[in-house]
Amino acid sequence: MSYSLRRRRVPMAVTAAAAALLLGLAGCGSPDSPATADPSTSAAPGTSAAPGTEQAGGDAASVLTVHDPWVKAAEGGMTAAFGALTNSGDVPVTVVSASTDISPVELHGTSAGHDGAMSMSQKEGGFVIEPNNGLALEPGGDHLMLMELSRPIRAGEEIVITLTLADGRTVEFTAVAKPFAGAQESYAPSHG
Amino acid sequence: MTVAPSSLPASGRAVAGRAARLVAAALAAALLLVAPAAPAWAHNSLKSATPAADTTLTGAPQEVVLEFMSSLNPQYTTVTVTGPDQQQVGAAPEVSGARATVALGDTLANGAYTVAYRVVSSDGHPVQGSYAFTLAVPGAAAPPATSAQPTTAPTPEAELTADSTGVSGVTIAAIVIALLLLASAIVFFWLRSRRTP
Amino acid sequence: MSADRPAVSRRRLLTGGALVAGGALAAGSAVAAATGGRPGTGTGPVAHYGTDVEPFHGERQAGVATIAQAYASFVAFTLRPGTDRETLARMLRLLSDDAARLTRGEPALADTEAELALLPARLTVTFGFGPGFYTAAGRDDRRPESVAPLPAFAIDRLEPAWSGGDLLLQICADDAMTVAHAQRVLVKDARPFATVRWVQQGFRRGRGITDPTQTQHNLFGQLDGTANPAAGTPAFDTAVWRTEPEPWLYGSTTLVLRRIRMDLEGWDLLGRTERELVVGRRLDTGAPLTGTSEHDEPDFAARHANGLTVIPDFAHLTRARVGEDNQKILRRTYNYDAAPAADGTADSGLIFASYQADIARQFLPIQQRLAEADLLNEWTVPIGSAVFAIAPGCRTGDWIGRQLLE
Repeated sequence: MSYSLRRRRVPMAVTAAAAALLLGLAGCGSPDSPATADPSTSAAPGTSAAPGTEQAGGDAASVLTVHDPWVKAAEGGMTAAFGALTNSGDVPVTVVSASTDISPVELHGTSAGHDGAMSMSQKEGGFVIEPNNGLALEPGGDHLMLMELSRPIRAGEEIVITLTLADGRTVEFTAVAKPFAGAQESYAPSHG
Repeated sequence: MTVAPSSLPASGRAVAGRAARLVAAALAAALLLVAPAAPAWAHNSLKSATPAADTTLTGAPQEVVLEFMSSLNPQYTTVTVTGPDQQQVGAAPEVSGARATVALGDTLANGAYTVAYRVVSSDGHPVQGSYAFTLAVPGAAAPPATSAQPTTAPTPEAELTADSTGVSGVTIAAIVIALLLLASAIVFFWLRSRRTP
Repeated sequence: MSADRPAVSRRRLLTGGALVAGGALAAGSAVAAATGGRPGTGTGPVAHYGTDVEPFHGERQAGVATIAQAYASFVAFTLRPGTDRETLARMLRLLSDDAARLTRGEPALADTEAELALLPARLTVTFGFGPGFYTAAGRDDRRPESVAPLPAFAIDRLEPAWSGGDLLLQICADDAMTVAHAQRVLVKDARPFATVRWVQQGFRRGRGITDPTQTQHNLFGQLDGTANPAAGTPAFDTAVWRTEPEPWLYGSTTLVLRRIRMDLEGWDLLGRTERELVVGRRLDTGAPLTGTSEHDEPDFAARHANGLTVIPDFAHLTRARVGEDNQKILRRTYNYDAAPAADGTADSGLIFASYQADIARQFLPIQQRLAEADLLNEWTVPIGSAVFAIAPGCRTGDWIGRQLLE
């Protein structure tokens, strides 16, 4: 799937801070590498650049990182992806949509319905992550909903997911499929 | 006038009570010791040996033969024959049923010999013991010859180390004592009951 | 937390598998919360026993040279039909990632009980491959020849329920909760690929109860493991680690895992001296009968005045003895103690785990000698037997078994 990037001029101080934060968050010193089997670190979009360096595609990843992503293994139908999103910038970041090769993706979360009852449904306004803050996508909370799998996702497999931000930048990451019994929420009637 | 035990003076009652308890304990011990077919007590022991214990031989024996109460496990049968110079003589034992045979060589020096055995009972418990005999063949520098003794049952416990096990003479003595105590107690009470006027 | 780190709410940390901050920092604060005390106050737990980490990554897997932890769970799996090399790779990547996180004191991905992961207590997860694993992987040509069911011994009373296995996960830690949680995570992630074949759980002395370098007792009351090669010595490396250059062999070893039932009822009938004759060592010190301290060299030629050898020919010590370093085995045994029968008959024994570079050169000769004659056999019965190759270690970012599968 192709993605588009638009470069922005980023002040050096922000770049340096982002680099330092990225190194810290990468954890245990293991380098980010987008194409390997290691699901525990975020992936720089389409490159194997060292974290924090500024180059094509480096901008979005240096602002929004995804840690410990995983997706629930499933034979078909619907499934969900989770992970920890971190905004290391100084302005809020909004994830407005997500996509994968194998399924349309919606952004889901708990919200009050028209009758006030809480239920899982598409999150209006996307995922907003405040500056220097994080958003955990987790069972029972906000998550990426894969609405109609075109093929099974088998345990241990990896799928690539792309997040699109409000300004059109994208962040790509690899999620490993885990066996998981939970995350079977009931949905608002419009998604029944 | 009938003298019931309860009307005996206190000291007499105490003696009678003590004796009764002793009899009961002895009886129980005796029964336990002679109970048949209880595996815990099926310890092998030496029945007979040739040459016999504490004998003096005027002719060199060809072999040492040990006869045990029960069948031997060849894997776990050890017999050593140690000569006057503290060196072992003879071949490894050949085991057949309850018998272990050690073939001795031709040239045995005169002097004191120790036969030692270590076998395993059917329940796996190790049993060991030893005894001695003397070789005094005339014509060598040796003690004066005496007639060879017939094979007799040795007393293996004579040279047991503290770690030997089995239905030993100590146990047999305990049974005898227990039975004697029982007999004494029976006589005691019989005599007492006859004292009623 | 410093200003440039994102504020992480505890709720975020504890309700899912997603960690935002560095693992150790989060674990530290969560440990304090979980254990209800601050390290160093004197009223809380001996904190470092819970937080101590045995590194997962390395040239060799952990859990072999590692000082034996207090609790172990050996979990053997049967691969599901149709499991092929690609499937095994998926499984091993998942399980390796679980092991890497849990041994660091981090929850696994998708961990439903994240709190239980925060005290690793020297957790090790060691992977073993049985013969069936190699076949499923299409790698029979890479299987060491002696990684196969052992030949039958006359003393064996093997039960299929305790024998064999395609994959082994050896889970050890100084804390039983840690073992339980790690086992749960790993079993769940293995479920799409394999079924649980058997689980053997065992224990040793708790951490801090005895000197960790001292030999421990087994349930017979005897000191068990005196002749083990010591970790960190050349003798150990010679005995345990393979050095063939092939990447799927270098840094590997083999494991023979036998379940040995102890006849404690029969053992009761032996006097103390008889027991010492059977074993060849004193019960209190572990000294050979010819010596005074545990590590004295036994003198098999020493005799009593009556001619009998001090150490019986049939003693366990005599029959198990080996001289050369490359013939020794590493015994890392655990005790098991299942529920007694209604009449009190014990169901206890040894999970006998033996590690050696070459089973045929090192383990089999000893086992054959013991099977032919060892008086201790009267009170022990092998009721389970399984053989595994213990794969080489893996580096950070890598996964166990890659060298075999790729």
